[in-house]
Amino acid sequence: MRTLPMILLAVAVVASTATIFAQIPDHPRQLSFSPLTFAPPKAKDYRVVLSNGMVVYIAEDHTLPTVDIRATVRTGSLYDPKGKEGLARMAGDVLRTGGTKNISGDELDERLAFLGASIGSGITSTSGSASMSCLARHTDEVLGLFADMLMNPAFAEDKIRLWKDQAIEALKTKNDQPRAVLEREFRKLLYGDHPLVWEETKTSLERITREDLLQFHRAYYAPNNIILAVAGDFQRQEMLQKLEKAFAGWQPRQVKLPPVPEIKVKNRPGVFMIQKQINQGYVNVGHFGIKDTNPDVFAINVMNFILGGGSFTSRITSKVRSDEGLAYNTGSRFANEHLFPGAFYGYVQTKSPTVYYAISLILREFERIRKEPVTDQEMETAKNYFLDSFPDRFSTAIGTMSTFASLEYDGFPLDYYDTYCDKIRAVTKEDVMRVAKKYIKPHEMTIMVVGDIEACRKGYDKHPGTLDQLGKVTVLELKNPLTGM
Amino acid sequence: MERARTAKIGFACLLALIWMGALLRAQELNLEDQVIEHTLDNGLRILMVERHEVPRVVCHIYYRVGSVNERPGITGISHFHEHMMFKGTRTIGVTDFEADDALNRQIDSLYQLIYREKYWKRDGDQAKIRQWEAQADSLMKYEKRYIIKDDLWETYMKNGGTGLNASTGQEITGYYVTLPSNKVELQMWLESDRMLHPYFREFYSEKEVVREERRLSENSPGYFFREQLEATFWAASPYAWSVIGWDADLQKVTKQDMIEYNRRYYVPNNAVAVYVGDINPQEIIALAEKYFGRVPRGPDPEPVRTTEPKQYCEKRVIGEAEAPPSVTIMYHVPPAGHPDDEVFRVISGLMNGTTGRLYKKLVKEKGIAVEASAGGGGMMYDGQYSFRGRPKSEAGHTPDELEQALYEEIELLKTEPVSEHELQKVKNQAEANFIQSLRSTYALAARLGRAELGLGWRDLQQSLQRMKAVTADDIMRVANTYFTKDNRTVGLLYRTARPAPGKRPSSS
Repeated sequence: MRTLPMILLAVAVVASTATIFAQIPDHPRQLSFSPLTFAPPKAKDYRVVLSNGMVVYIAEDHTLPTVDIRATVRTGSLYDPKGKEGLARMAGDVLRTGGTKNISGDELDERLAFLGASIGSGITSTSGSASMSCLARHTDEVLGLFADMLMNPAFAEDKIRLWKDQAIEALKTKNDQPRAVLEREFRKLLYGDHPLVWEETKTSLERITREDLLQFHRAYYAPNNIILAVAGDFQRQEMLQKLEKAFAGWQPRQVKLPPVPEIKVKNRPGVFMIQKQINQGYVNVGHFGIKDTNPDVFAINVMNFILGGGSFTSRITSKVRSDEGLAYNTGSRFANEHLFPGAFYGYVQTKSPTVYYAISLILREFERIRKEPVTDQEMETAKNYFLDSFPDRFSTAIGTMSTFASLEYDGFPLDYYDTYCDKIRAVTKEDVMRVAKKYIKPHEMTIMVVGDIEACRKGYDKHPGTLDQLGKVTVLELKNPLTGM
Repeated sequence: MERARTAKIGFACLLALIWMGALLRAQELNLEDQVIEHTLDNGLRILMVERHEVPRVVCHIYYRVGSVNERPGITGISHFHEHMMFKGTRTIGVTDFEADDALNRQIDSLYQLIYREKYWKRDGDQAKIRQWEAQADSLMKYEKRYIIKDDLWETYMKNGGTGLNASTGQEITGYYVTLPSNKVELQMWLESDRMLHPYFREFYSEKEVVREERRLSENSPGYFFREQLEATFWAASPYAWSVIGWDADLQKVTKQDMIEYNRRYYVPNNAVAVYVGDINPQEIIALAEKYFGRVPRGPDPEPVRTTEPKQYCEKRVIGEAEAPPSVTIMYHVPPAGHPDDEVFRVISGLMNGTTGRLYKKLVKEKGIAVEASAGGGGMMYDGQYSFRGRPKSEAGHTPDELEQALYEEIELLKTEPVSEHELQKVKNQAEANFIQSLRSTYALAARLGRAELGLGWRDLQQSLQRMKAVTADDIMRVANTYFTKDNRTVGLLYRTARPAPGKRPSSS
């Protein structure tokens, strides 16, 4: 089948090789590339609202004989009542494992496994999700099961017990991973007493009943509180009819999200340490950042790319890892959360004696980006990266539909990506310095270190200095994860 | 021109997608019809798959080298080499190569002295070592004026490179980047340059980065135990050490070791380059001829000689760590390509997942485990198949109890034929997973490249066909042949006895 074109191809290659050998440029700088333009798909072209109020982003994609659906539900563990921490997470998981009024969880598992299909469900702090994936020829059956799960979960008692047993077992491992301890305790320092950082305990989990789960489902799972992303090997109109049919009889109703306590942004400078008998210090150094709705977000992203977000091209990685060989992982992040200001922090994991030195280098970069203008070359690299890699986010149809669904979920304008590149292009060196000054406060840093306290604290002779020089050192005690005490 | 191109590649243009989709479906997902291959005169293999959804191309290059090619004394060198390949070449990462090279020669000779004094002698002269180290330090500081920091990485990133990384495994090392479709030539330039002009600049500071990476692993719960278990399981095979290597070897490995290792394995005839995305295969071939074609063929590297000898008695490893208690039961099995290999894939299908036997019996029914799984099979030179589980310790269940329960499941494999329905379920899942695995261009490139250096990329599909032919009898025969007491190594990990976490409230 392929023989003829391949022969032609071979001739073409032989003919051209003789002349091109001399043309290899000495340096990649001298390469020139043909222009390339890319127009992102428009969200509104894919948006449909079903008769029950469910929003659907739908695209045909015939690359493989498969169908994918992802649902986003407006809910989250953020709404867990005090004393029942874990409720949303349990509801999200047992929604799937506990079966429905029409089919037991075990039967559902078996049927999906036999079809080579999958259905999932879960809830994070700020949203719920459910998904299905199957071969196109099984769409009707799997979609039926998927809709049944969303509408009629049974929350069977034995599956609640199974979930609790596993969750309690997992609690016992919560202090094993130094990185998990660091991220968790750092967030607790930042957010204080807030549902975002409340922790599950054996008691809180045992307190949750099947009735709580049913009530949770009634409170949040309504068609008008769900956004679907749908893509795969189907005809659009036909698929929309299938969706109407699968969710027929599910009535829209008003969903009220409970009020969430406001976070009072207040930085807590100082050094906080947690003892762990390991050979490195795991470090976060930072404070509150921004909400992703902040109009400075584009300038901040460019600034942070240069500072510590752009892997090896960034200043922190270049200095701490590449130059000094102090760490495998280091850099900085703006965790741009939606409903709340996320954290801004630099991070590093380095052997205990070099903890102080590594932190001091990161702090130095925090100062420098606020005071010295960044270079033209740094700006070019950062902006080109954002612009040239922009099409990546549209590389699969289901990914694109999910991207649109999250725009809608977070209340961004649907044409957000039409102007994205222009907003990156518009960022100037002055913007970078302005946002660095505004959002980075080197003297208000919360420095948290998980590691062998004495070894980390004292530093080493090649670069003398101790953690006590960076602020008041407070040693925090790790709590028993089962009891929270 | 430009407009036309935009319309063609624009995602919104559904017509184009439908047309391409119809074409693909007509081919019934036969990889044979999608993969285009080409071999250069120097032996470099090129694999290509067209995917035109977005104007991006996944560009991967894989070498047939990994920790299995190492020997005691240089363990970890494949992975260290991967790091070094990002530190520049004779052309990249340096402003004045001659001056930089002269400095590097001085630094290397100082370190030769240091390593001899430190590692060859029982009581090396510490004062001398400190003096040489100080000299080397100041030369390295001086060298910085010639170094363009992370030049390769920055060049990729400012041209929209994403998925930029590399990885080293036991048998394969890969270098990855995804670029705009008009910039594939950049990858050809840089990767052929890495192949042609390697230069191991900043060797000594990067060694410390690798040692930090090893420390990170060491701090993950139960790491040392797992490392010991592997080292115990393998008697002769170089699979015995981890990819990161032993720290003592990392300390002692020299620049000269690195150069020799590079010359032996990082040659075009030991590699495959893969391009998946918005490509024109003819253009790719022409570019590959131009850039990679200039790299001379090397001697074909000899495969690893050692074969794991037969095990004649059970081995047990018992440990404690600040980690969840666990059981691992490992068996020696034949290398990849052996006819029994697909039988192990079917066994994994029977055992794993929420409808798999281990979860159903041990987690749901008996309630003695939080998780249990099985997996493994043939590797390039030998094979290993394991059953693993974590006991539900809160309810008082122990690794020992779970070990016995796992044997019961293994025994069932030997004595009871699997039902047709269960067998069919496993085969259906394998087929669906195979189709799903082709979705991501990145994953497709990785699978093709790795398979090509193993049994050849065609084996991906052939293996699925062989798996579909596995019978209930095959499973019983294979279980009886390999899952025997003398052929196993058992690892039992218990949680360290330690004082309970403090009851006092946090002092914050």
